[in-house]
Amino acid sequence: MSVSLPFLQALILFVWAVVIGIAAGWLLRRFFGLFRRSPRRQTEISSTPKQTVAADHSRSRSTHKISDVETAEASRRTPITLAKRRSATQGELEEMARSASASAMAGAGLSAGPQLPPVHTDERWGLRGVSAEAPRSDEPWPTRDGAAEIHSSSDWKAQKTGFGDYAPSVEADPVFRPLDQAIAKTVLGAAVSADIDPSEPAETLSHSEAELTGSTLSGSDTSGSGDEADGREKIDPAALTAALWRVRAATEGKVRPPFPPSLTDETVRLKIQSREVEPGEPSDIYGFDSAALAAARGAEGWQPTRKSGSETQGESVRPFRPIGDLSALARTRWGIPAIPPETLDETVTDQNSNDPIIDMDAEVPSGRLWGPAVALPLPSAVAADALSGRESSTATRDILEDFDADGSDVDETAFAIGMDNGDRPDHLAEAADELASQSEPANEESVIPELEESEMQQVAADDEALASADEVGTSTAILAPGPAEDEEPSVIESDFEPILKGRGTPAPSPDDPRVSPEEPQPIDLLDQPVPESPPAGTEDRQAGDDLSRIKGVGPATEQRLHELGVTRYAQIAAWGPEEATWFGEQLFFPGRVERENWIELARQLVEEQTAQN
Amino acid sequence: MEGISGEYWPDRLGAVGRMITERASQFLPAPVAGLVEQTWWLLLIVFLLAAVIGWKLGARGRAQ
Repeated sequence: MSVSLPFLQALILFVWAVVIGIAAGWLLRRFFGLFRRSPRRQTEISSTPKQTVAADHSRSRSTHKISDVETAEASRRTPITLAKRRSATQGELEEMARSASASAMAGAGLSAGPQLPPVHTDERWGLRGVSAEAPRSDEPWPTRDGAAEIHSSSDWKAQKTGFGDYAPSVEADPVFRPLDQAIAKTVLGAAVSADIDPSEPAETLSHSEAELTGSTLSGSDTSGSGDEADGREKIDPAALTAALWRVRAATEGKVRPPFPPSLTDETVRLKIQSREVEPGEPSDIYGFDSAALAAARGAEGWQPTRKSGSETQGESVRPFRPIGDLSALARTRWGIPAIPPETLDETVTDQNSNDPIIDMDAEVPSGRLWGPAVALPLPSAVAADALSGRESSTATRDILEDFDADGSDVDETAFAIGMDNGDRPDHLAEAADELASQSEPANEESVIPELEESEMQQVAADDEALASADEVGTSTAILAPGPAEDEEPSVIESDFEPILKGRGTPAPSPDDPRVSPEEPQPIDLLDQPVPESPPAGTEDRQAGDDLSRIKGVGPATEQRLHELGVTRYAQIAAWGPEEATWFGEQLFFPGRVERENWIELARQLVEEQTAQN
Repeated sequence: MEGISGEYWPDRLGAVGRMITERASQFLPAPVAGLVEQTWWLLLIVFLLAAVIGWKLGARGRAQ
């Protein structure tokens, strides 16, 4: 398959067109999205769908009440742009309101409190929004409508109105006032237990403040008789709502709500009542019924749009799940009013605050608890430095200086965990001395570190002597025992001559505490005869060829070749392909020998050498 | 139709293509500019469709 060049060019052109087009469209959408109205503004037009619904309702019932006629006239008076919309049917509106209430409940329960159900089942409280007529102050609290409850049930498991369900009103705009039990307990100082007695007149906000705070809480005690045995106080829901409103206005403190939630402006009230546990019903409503859940999974509209709801919960399925997000609900084409954010708890509007991926503004804890940002030297390396009496390397010293902030005395615990501020090598040496003095008899306590050191020195000297025994005659290897070469170069230089001249090792300075008289002396190789030629098998480095003349061989590569035993051109010239591959791998550049043609170059250099000789 | 430079353009689309090519040849190699002259209308359609797609993507991202 051959692709012609113009085809490829055209393809690239179209790809560019697509990319630029997508980017331009995305940017334009984002730009013009800045001037769009926010979704919460949609509450301003909340009266229109209500009127549409009312008109639809009146048409379906075909009754001729005065109120229905009025609402029908009101619907005719709606603006043309809004009248163009398709009016939602009753079932659609119910479904949307149901999903709204379920999502609100799901959001309200996300992080409000403990995830486990309360211990006592009779302490569970259901919130129920009950549609009300135009309220009057002397009107009793609306009673439960059994048929309406069953019809608008949203409890998918129990198939009836259960705990925590809203029974949304379709004749009026829904105003949700979820009740946070923690707030209620904190503010009112009593467990919320109010069973609504229909015979009792509802409290209004025309009462004074003192009545709202004190007397209404105790005044409603006379209504319910059964719950008094529990010893809890009765709370009027209207007073509770007012208290919640005041608390919200006080705590949030942003914008004072336009008016208190009185009975005159509310068409949906919260009905707070205890939940009776039926004997036949399982006591744990949070129980996981796999069959019912599987049946509900197939149901239409159940599937949550966000994955976070189902993924984070795992198998512990709660009875309410987010069906849809509130903003999506607010964007419905029928203009269902969005739930006013000021009527919701914070957990509803900020329901993603616990998600670290979605909530990008969440505080990320920062500090030293996440570990030091520098690579600390290994404690064993530091200890070895300290034991050998060597100055720590510059990097180690720099790092240790960071810890040495104020020069205060070293805490033992801090030292033990490696977070001390003191000078670490010194302290380690002291600790080693202490340990040695504790473990060994007292008469040897001054010798113990020196003994170890002398052993190490002896071993090192033996190794060095053995390694350099072959090159004594030609090389300038230093046979002096003791510390490493990098400790004091000047001293080593001064000791260089006497060693080679056979005067033995320099006498240890008397003030050097590390050298003890018991220290065994290194092997003196100077008495042995110097071999005439290096033994067979060892390479004469000094007599080797200059491998850097081969193109591509630098100083590092040359040294590596020397380490591998390659010092002459003839060796490289004798390489076969397998050797070339092997040496290339050993030099960490596979294929380099073949690519740069070292063998041929080495052959040329060998010929050059032979021609010169 | 006779152009200013003496070239013959069969229609106005060809004139547009030639104008685009003159612009495109400022920063594109000559064969690619010739391709642009031939397919500028297709490129325009593709660009507009991609812009619509980008618009939709922007709306989706805004909803988050």
